[in-house]
Amino acid sequence: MSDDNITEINMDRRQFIAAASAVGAAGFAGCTGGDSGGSGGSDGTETSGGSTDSSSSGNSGETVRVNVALAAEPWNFDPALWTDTATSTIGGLIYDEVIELTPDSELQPGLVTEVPDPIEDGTAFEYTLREGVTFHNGDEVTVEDFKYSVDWILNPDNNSPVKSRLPFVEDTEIVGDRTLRLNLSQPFGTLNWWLTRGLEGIVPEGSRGDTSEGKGPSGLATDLTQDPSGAGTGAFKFVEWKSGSHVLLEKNEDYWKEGAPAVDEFRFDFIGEDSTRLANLRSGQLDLTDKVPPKDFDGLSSQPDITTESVPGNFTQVLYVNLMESEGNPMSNRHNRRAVLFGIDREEILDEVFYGQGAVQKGPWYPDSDWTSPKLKEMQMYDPEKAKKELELAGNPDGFEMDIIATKGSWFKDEAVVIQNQLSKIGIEATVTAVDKSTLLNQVYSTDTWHAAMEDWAQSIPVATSWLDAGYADNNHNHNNWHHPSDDLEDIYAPSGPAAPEDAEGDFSNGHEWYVSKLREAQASTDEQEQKEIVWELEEYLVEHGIQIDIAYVNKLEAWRNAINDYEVGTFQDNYRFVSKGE
Amino acid sequence: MSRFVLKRLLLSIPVLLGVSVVVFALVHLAPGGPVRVMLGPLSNEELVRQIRLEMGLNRPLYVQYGMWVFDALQGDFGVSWTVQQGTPVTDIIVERIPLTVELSILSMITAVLIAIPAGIISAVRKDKPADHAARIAALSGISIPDFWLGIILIMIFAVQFSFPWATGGWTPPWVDPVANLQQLFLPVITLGTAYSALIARMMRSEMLDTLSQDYVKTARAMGIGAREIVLKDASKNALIPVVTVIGVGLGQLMNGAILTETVFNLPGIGKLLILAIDRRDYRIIQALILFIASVFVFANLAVDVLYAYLDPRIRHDGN
Repeated sequence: MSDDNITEINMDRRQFIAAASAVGAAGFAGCTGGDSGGSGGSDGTETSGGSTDSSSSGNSGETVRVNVALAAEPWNFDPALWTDTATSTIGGLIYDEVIELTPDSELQPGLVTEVPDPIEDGTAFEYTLREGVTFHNGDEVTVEDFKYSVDWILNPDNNSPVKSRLPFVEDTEIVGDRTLRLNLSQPFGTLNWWLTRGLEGIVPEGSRGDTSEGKGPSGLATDLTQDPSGAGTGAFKFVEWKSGSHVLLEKNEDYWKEGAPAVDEFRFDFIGEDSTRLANLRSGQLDLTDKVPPKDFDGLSSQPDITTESVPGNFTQVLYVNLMESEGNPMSNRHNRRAVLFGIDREEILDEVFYGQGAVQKGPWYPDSDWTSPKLKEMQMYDPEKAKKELELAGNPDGFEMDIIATKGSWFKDEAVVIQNQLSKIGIEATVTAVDKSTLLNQVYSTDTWHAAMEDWAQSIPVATSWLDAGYADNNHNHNNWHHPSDDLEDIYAPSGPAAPEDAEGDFSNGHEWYVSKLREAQASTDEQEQKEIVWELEEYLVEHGIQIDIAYVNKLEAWRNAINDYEVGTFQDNYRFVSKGE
Repeated sequence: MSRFVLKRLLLSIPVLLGVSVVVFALVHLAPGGPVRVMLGPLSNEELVRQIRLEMGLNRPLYVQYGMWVFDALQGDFGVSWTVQQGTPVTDIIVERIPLTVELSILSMITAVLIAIPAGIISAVRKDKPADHAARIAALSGISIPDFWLGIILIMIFAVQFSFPWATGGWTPPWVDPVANLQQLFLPVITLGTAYSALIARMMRSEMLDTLSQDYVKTARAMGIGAREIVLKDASKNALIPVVTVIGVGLGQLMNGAILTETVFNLPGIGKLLILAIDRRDYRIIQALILFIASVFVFANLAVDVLYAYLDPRIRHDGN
């Protein structure tokens, strides 16, 4: 049979094309017609996507809904268990903090009448509840509820990960009809700042139920974890959480704050894919999104119907270094660390990887802050000649080889590769290996075989002493395997790092012991200038010895449709409570 | 036939058991774990140890595996550790299965509807413009990554034309079938296109092979029309190997759904698997992989049965 003979079925092809066209057209017409965007969501069945008809208005009689995209999915809705920012964003609408952090990083009373000063030489604080605040179930918030909420976190049987955010708090006692006293084991002047993250909600007494029965190990789940209905006091009530899709909240008509809430519903969709999130915003399906990728920020800013904002972020890009003297680890040598410190051009990283959205660091804290040492502010951080001199002092003028592990995804590998290129110019040959986050955390916090690790670190409490505490102070668990001898030092660790400063007052086995002692002194002080001077001294010590290589703070980039009003973006805290939506 | 089916069903038990061992070992031997992810990087070591103890993660692997298999055989996969903390794993997976199954089936139907006619036309019009066009389209379909095509479709339909249904999401068909089909339109195109390219190439190859067979020449000599030969005889025989590809493909589409669900923000098992791996929720990972492996095994079984039905020459009784 020849092909020519087969051409007899030419008509079939036409028929096929015609039929296919008809089917396609019919399908397309079906897709464009009718009501779009799903069924509204409040029926508990629609699992994703925006709902255009119910969200776009401001007209009377229609439900005004704000659709927000979060890049990450929440973990749980028990304020004694969550530690992540996505949950905190949503949880901040369901619950109220005891002490609030404003977008301008100021303290203000939340569920209490005032931000108290410490008493008893800084070893106790007394908090008095506001009157007339009710839970979503209608019951008034009592001091017993307050005590229950704090005690549950403090109880070691409950394994609350939030407990570390109530440092030195030993116990509580009711000292008035509405007043709870927190007793501390040592003076701690900055407790109120820690409470902004340590007590993100008061819940009704007994509402957590039995923590282990059928819910897995303690510290994992309570009765509030998946369904916090009725337990909040916040501007919005919990309606539903569709895992993998969204959380829906409705307004609390009895909310105690004037002017909030200003919309009927909030819907948070979890959209991890950057381009999908931005497409949803551009098309109007979303009203607001967090985590705009730096590369897309300028393009989005040029759109007339979208508002963008870039503020200093609380994520610092860090190259952790392993200070322990393990075999073949070049980072245990102070001069090698300083060679890396001065061999990195942070401006280039900021430009190449973050499109200029951020600020180069000169130490662990924000470069323009009063809490950053004036001496460090003057320091030139990128200095290849100085780096080469450090290599000579280390005894390896031609450089050395090192490994950098970097988290896969985001921009960590890109940063590590830029650093790799920069270090090669001074003779340091770095090998970059990308691993997933869990693997990186395991290596950094449980082994001594690594050299350097590229990651970021977010601190949610805007206090320099808190920043200098997290990641540095814990003898058994810090970013850089920096330890001093002590009875409780784990077997896998060994004392490491430089000696204490020569002029240090007291007897210290090494620099880490001195560092922790000075930090505790700063934390106990209520004199701001005294605190500052200690902080400066500690910051200078960290940079002087290359304890950690800080790179840059990356800006927080957010975008929303112009119809959204009164949304406040802050470095440590955004405020959704007063958001309204116009035409 | 029933003996054959029973035999295959029994054989699937060691296959699934093998899969469970491999998955369990891989998941548990990978560095990192759920506790550190759950509590944060700087969590207190004592707390990490305590929770690991309560989770049973300090026990020998074979003991953990034995306990998991024992519970799994009773349909109990435990509660989620890090995805929906405290919620039974089976509840989480069952909630997500309908979307992925619907997406996979619709994608397969789309792929078949495009691929079979395209493959036939391409073979019948061999080396003609229609054939070249079909082959270029097929090659493009195979080469274009799903996630890229998905993003481009979203940019075109959602951003440029502002179709609200084009940004993803899912409404169950029993709630609103129209909205359901609208929302799955682009994901189905994305997922179905690549697979249709594969089937079309297979179909073309099989058709060319079949058209050169003696019985086709005989039929022509008997004066039977080309249309009848192609549609009634040749295509039916050419379809037999293609059915295998389609059957196995149903399992592969479930894998493909992982990226498509991520791009279109669809809360199916693909997106769940990504989250579970990211958060090291061992229990969800193990249960999902076992589920996907089961789909593969049973899809293959169904194909074999169908194969025997389509081709009477094939016998599964060993003769």
